[in-house]
Amino acid sequence: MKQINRLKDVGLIDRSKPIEFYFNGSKLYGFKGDTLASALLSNGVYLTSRSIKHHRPRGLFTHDLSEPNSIMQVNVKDKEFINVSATDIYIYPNMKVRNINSWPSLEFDLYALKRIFSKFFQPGFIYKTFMWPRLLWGFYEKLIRKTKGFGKLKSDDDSLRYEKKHSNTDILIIGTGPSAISFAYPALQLGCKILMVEQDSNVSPTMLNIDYIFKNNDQKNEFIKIKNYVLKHSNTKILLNTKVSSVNDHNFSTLIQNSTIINDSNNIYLPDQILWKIRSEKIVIAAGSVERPMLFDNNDLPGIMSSNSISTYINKFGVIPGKNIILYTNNDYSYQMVFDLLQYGIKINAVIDVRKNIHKEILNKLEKNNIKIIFDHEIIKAFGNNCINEIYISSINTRKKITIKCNLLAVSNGFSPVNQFHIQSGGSLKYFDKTDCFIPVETKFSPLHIGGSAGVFDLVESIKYSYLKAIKMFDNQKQDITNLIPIKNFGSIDKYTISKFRSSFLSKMNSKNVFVDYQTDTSLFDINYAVKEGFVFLDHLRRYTLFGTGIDQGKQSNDNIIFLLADILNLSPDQIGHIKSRPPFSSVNFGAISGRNNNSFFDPIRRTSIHNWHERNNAIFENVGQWKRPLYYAKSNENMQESVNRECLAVRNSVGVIDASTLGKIEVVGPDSVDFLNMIYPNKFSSMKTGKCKYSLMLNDKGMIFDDGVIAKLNENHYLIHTTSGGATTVMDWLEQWLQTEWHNFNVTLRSVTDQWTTISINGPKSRILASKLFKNIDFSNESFSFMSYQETSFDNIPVRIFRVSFSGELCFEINVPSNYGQYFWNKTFELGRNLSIVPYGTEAMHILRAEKGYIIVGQDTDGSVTPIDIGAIKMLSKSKDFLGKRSLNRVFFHDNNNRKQLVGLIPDNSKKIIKDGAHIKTLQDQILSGDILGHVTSTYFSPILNKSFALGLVKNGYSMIDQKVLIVDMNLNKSYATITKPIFYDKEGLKQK
Amino acid sequence: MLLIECIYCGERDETEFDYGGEIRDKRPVDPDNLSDIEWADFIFSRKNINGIHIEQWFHSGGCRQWFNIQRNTYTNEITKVFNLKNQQIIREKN
Repeated sequence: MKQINRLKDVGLIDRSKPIEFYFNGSKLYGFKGDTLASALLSNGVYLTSRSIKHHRPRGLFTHDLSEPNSIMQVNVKDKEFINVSATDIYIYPNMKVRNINSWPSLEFDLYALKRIFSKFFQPGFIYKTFMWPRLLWGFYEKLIRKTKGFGKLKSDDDSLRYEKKHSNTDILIIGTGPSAISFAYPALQLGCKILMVEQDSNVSPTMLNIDYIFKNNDQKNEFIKIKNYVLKHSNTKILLNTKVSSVNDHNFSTLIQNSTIINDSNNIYLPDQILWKIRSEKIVIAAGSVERPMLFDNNDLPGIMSSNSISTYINKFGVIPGKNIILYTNNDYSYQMVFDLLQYGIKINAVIDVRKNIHKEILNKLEKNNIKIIFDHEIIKAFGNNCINEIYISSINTRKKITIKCNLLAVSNGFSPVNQFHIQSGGSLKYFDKTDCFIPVETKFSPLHIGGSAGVFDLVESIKYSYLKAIKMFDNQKQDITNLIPIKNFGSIDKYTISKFRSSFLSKMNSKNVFVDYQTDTSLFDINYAVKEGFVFLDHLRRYTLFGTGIDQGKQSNDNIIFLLADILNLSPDQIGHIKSRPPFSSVNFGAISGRNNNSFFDPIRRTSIHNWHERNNAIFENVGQWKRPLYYAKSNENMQESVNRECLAVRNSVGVIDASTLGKIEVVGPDSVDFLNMIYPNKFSSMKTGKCKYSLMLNDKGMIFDDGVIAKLNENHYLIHTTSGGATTVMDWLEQWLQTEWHNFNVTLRSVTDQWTTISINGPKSRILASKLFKNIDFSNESFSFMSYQETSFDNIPVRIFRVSFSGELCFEINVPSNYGQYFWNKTFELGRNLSIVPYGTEAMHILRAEKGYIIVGQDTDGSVTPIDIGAIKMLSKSKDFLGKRSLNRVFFHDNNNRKQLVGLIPDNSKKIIKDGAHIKTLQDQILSGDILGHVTSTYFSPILNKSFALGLVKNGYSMIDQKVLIVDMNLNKSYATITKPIFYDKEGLKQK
Repeated sequence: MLLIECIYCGERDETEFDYGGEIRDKRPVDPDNLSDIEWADFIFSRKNINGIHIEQWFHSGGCRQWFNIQRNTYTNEITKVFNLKNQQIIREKN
C-alpha cells in the first residue's frame, strides 16, 4: 500500500480502514473518509481526465463542487453514478472508476489528435461547416452527437434510490463555516430554530487548521466556545453531505443530501439521495467563495491547482498533491496555503506574486522561513507532458524572462463570492473594486449574505461582520437584543489586499492554450474570436462559446470572463453585467426530482367498479385521462378490426353493453340551479320538466365548445349534468369558478358524483327486452318511457337511475347503480341477456357507432376553435337569454360560412381504405402538396354496418361543398379522393333511437 | 415556490393552488349592449402590471375555495388577502 503523497497522522481520515478501488482498471488504495479526489492524489494520480473538446490532459483543480475537470463514471456494487465529480463522491470498497472523454486510454488518447486540426475548431464551427447541403445535417448530427457529451448512460433504469423530505425552520444557513457559526450564535440565544447545510462531511471544513489560523489564543478560544455552543444547541439541526440546489421565492429552497453509505439495491428502505424541500423564515448564505484560476499558456495542465484546495487536501486528508511547489498569486489570502504547508515542515520553492508588495506580517513570516518570493512577475507559459514540470516567468516591468522547475503550481486570481443563490431568487449584483468581485445587492426579499459570499474574505472580519449582521436583523425585527452575549476579541482586522491582475490578458488574446473555462474548453482565442464576430453581450458570448454551460456551471470561470470582456470592450464589469444563474446550483439527478413518483406512482390510475370483469374477459385497455377503459374485448380467433366489427354489429342488430362509468357526473342542487344552468349552457332550462333529459354543448365565454353532455332534471332544483370522461375535473373547476368568482348571488351547490355511480349503457334494438327483464316494474314502451327522459327505480333494493339517451344511435338505456353494486348489476345484466346474444363492447366500437351518426367527440372533432355553428348546432343557441359565449357568437364573423370550417362527412372513393387521421383536405385542382388546405380529417373509421370506410372532417365553407370531390393528402404525402357529405351516415332520420 | 395564505386554511405551498389570473371586471349583465371591441376588451385584455396587482387563486388541493390576493408581480411579495364575496381584507402585511 504505497501512498506517495500521504502525510503521517494528518487529517480526518480513518487510517485503520484502508479501502481498495479501481481507477481505469488499476488497483489503488485510500482510507475511509477519502473522497475519490483525495484518494487519487494520495496515490500520485495527477492526470484524471481529458477535456471535452480538445482532449487535453487535465487533473484535479479543486476539492469541491466547483471542480471543472475530473468528471467520472463510477460503479459501486450494482449502482452507477454518471457524471459525478471526483470531489463529490467518497471511495468505497471495490469501487470502479472510469474517466470520460478518452479513447483508447486516458494516458494515450487518440481523440487528442483532433488538436492537429484545432485551427478549424472555432466557436460555431459545427453550425457553420455542416449546414451545407442542408439535407445532410441529420446525417452529420448523428456522427457529431457521438463525440459530444459527458458520461454514458448504460441501463434503462436509474440504479439509485431517491426520497423526498419536507421540512421548515426559522433560519436556514447555507454553510457551516466561521461566519455561519457566528451568525447562528445570537440567533440561537434568541430562541430561533436553525438548520445548517454543509456540502462537506464535516462542520466548518475550512477551520481544521484552528490551532494557528487565529492571531492569538483568545480569538481561538472564543471561536471554539461559540462553535461548541452552536453545534450542541438543541435548536440546531445540521445536514452534512448536502448541496443546495436552489433558493426560490418566499424563502423556499431545495437541497440534495447524499448518502454516505452505498446500499444494496435490494434494500429498499435506504435512499441514496434525499431531495429536501425547506421553507424557512429567513435564508442566510454563508457559502463562501470560489478561487479563480490564473490565465497563462497551458494553464490547464495537471498539477495546477487552486491554492485553498491544496490547503484542504493537506488539512483534511493529509495529502500533499505534489513536490516542488510554487504559489502564483495576486492576493494576500492565498498565502494561507504556504503556512498550512509549513505546519508540516514543507517549504514551498517560491512564491510568484504579480504585485510589488504584500502584507508586512506575511512578508516577515516568509523571510523568517527563507521562502523565496518573486514580486512583480507573471507566468507566461507552463510546460509538461500530462503533468506540469516547468514554468516560464517574466517580469511585468522589464519583460526579463526565466524558467523555474515546478511539479505543483498553486494559483490564486482572487475570489468569486457564491452569489448564484442571490441571482436565483431574483437579486442583482454590484462590482466591488476593492476585492475585485461581484457582491449581492440585498433587498427586503433577498437572502442575507455573510462571510465570503458577501465579499468579506478576512476570517476575523467575517466573524465580526456576521455577528453584527445578525444583531441588525433582529433589531429590525424589534426583538430584544440587550441581553445577548456578544463575541469578544474580534477587534482588529488584517488589511489584506487583492490586486486586479489582468493587464497582460489582452496581449495573449490569440492564444488557444490559455483556458478561461476548463470544462467547456473555452480559450482566450475563442472569446476574442466570438467578440470579433459581434457577440459582445455576455449571454450571446456564452451561448456562442459555451463557456459556463458545463456541469460546474462555470463557478470559477464566469467572473474571469466578465472581467476579460470588460477589458476588451473597455467597459466596467458592472456595464457587462453578470451571468443569470438558474437552478440547480449543483447538478441534480432527474431521479431525485421525481423521487418515488415514478412508474405506477407517477399518476393515479382510475379503474371502474367492473374493471376486474373486463380484465377477465380479455379487454384491451386504453387510457382516457387517468381512467382505464376497455378499447375492445379480444377473442383469440380475431384481430382488432374483426373484434370491433363484431361489437359494432351486435349493437346495431341485437344488444351491446358498455361500461360508461367514466362519464363525468356532477349534481347541481339549489333554488338557483335553473338560472345557473341557463348561464352555463346555451340551451334553455326554464321550461324543462322533471324526468326529462337534454343534450347540450358547454361553451366558454369566447363561444368555443369545450365540453358536452346530457343534463337530466332529477327533481325540482336538482339536476344531474354529465361531462366527457376526460373533462370531468376541468368542468367541475370551471363551474366552481363561475359560482364563486362571478355569481355569488346564486344559491347553488355542486357535487361531483362520478365515482359514486357505475353507468351501464345498454344499446341496440333488443335493449328494451333486456331492460324489461331487469326491471319488471317499469314500462319501457315509447309512450311511458320516451326518448330523452329519466326514471328512478330500484333493483334488489339498490337505488337505480335510468336515462333513455343515446350515443350509439340505437335504442339505449343508461342505467346508473351505486358503484358498490356495479359489478353485481353488470353480472345480472349478462345473466338475463344471455338469450339475447348480449355482447360487451369497448370504446373503439363506441367511437365508430357515434361517428356513423355524426356525433362529435369534444377534443377530437373539435379543438378549442370550433363553435356550435361550425358543427351545425345553431338551433341549440337560445335567443331569449344570455349564456356564456353568446355575445362572442353574435359576432358577424362566426356566421360567415366562407370564413369558418364546418364539420362534414367524407366518403372515400376507395371504400375499403381508412383515411389517415389528421390528413389534409384540399381542392381537386390543388397540386402543391404543401400549400394551403381546406381543412383536415378529425375522425376516420371503417363502418361494419355500411361495409365501407367513412370520415368526419372540418372543412372551410364545407356546407356549400356537399357532394363535391376533394383531394386528401396524409402525412406521408399519399393522395386519395373523397366526396363531401352531410356528417351523418347511418339512420339519417334518427328513427332507431326514438 | 410561493407561500400563499388561503383565507380558510392558512399558509400553504403554491402546489396546492391553481392560479386564476389577474382579477377582471365583473361580467357585464347585458353583453348585447356592448360593441364588439368593448366585448373583446372584456374577454381578452388584461393589464399585466409589473408591480402590485390583485389576482385570483383557487385552493384546489384543499378547501376548493376561490379568494383574491394582492401581489407584487416583480418581487412576489403578497401584501393583502381578500375574501372574494365581499372583498373584505382578511390579512394585511405592512
